[in-house]
Amino acid sequence: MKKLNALGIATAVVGVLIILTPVILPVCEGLLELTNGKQVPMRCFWTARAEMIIGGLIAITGLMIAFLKSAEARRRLNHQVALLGVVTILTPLFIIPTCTHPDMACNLGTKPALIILGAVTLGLGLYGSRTPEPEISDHTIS
Amino acid sequence: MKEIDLFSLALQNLRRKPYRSVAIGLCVAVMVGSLFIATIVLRGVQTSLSVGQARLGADLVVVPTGYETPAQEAFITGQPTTFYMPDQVESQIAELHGVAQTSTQVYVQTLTNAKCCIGEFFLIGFDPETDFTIAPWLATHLKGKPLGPLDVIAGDRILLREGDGATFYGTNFRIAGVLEKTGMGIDRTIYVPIEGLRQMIADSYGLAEQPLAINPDEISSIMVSIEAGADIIDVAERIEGQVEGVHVFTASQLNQAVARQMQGVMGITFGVTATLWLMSLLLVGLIFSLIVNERQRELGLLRAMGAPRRAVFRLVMSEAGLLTGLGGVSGLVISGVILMSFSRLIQLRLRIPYLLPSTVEIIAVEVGLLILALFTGALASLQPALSISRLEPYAAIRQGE
Repeated sequence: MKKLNALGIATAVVGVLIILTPVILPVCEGLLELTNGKQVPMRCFWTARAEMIIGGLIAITGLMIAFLKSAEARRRLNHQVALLGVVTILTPLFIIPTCTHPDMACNLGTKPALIILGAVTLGLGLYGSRTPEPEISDHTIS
Repeated sequence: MKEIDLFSLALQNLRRKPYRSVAIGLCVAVMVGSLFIATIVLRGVQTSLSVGQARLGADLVVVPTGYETPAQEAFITGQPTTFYMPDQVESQIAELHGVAQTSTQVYVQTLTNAKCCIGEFFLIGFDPETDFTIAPWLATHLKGKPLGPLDVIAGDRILLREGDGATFYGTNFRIAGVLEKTGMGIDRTIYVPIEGLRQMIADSYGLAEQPLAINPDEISSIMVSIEAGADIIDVAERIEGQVEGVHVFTASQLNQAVARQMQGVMGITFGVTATLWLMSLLLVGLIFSLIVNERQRELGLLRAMGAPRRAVFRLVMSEAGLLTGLGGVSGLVISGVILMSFSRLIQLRLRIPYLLPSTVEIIAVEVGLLILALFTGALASLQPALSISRLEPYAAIRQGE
């Protein structure tokens, strides 16, 4: 059986965790009523949806890294993982910010969890993107 | 030729078996991390209680019988609660021996998602003329400016800033100041002068979605300051004995209420951590016995090449120290990130007051836990390290073949 790339599997697991974050730590429930009477979800609802898509992309990329044979292809995909990690962090902060009040559900659990998982994704991506170190050939004991 | 010392040799040995090293490191990381979170949360609660009690200012709090638990919850977590008793109770208490000062408060709950702020907040009507709980704060922060009937003081978590406007039950108020963070219920409380509060109650019939049904002669609690030298328990018992329908709680009872709330969670956390520590100790000890056994030939060769017993002993000890040290540092970093990110969620879920302890205290806890991690490694690998360093080189090489 072919040996899978551990870093790819770890990336896929983090991707799945990002998908599950809004399920485990839900964003704000409730709806906002507009002046025309129409009810719409709070903006953190869309943050969660966007993060679930990004999580899906990270998981797929992770699986590709795990199964790919070419080291160079894996390295390039890890660049993408690092980029997706940055997007995961930026989404709840700037791209689709969560609600304003710090005591709301989305800010208490979902947002910090997504930022931490984004940072882990970024770390995994950067680690996988590095150029392999040359082998050390000789040693003596002092 | 690159020379390597004991430390880099130990590091290289650990890298030879990455999964085994990660497993041991992870075990120590979980142990150190959970102990760090438990310790900091516990210290955070104590810090918050001492700051909150100083702000509470009163020696005793008198509430109607049957409402002691919601009243304590309101002080600890800011969970809004409403209950009322006749205002004549205050004069009865003020006349009792040992009572120096009394001040009444009226509790009102904001409507969910009031015009100014999201969520429910606790409005407390206080009498600026008799109040001694937030009055010292007002004296220093308002710099002598008089507090108008519609000037309110907000807690730190309300997210209103000085000069902002806020509408409750149709009445417009102005934020005259924001109290410092305490981590307790005070942070989610808005203090309204009693005159403004009575006006808001009266106007609520015409202006609010839901009018407030509070009679002008009703109060919720009485803050009591006792005379110097008087025994706090004696005065509390005298009030409960001589005034009908009231319950008295002291600041120390607030501590007990928090201790009760935390007992279960903290007991489980410390129990799990103690088990984890024991497991780490056994695991590291067992794995190092195996490592030493597995590498008898290698270590025997090292001795044969002239490495003294001390060097072999130090090599095994360094490997254990490095592994548990790195595990400890990772545990501290990860748990620190988790604690900083989810402290508010922990506070709300456990319904506890929480204020981050000082940096010095956090660093002291971190250093202590790192020493514990290193001690665990040293203790667990002591026996295998001693046994291999005592073995003669020839015997070690033969046994390891």
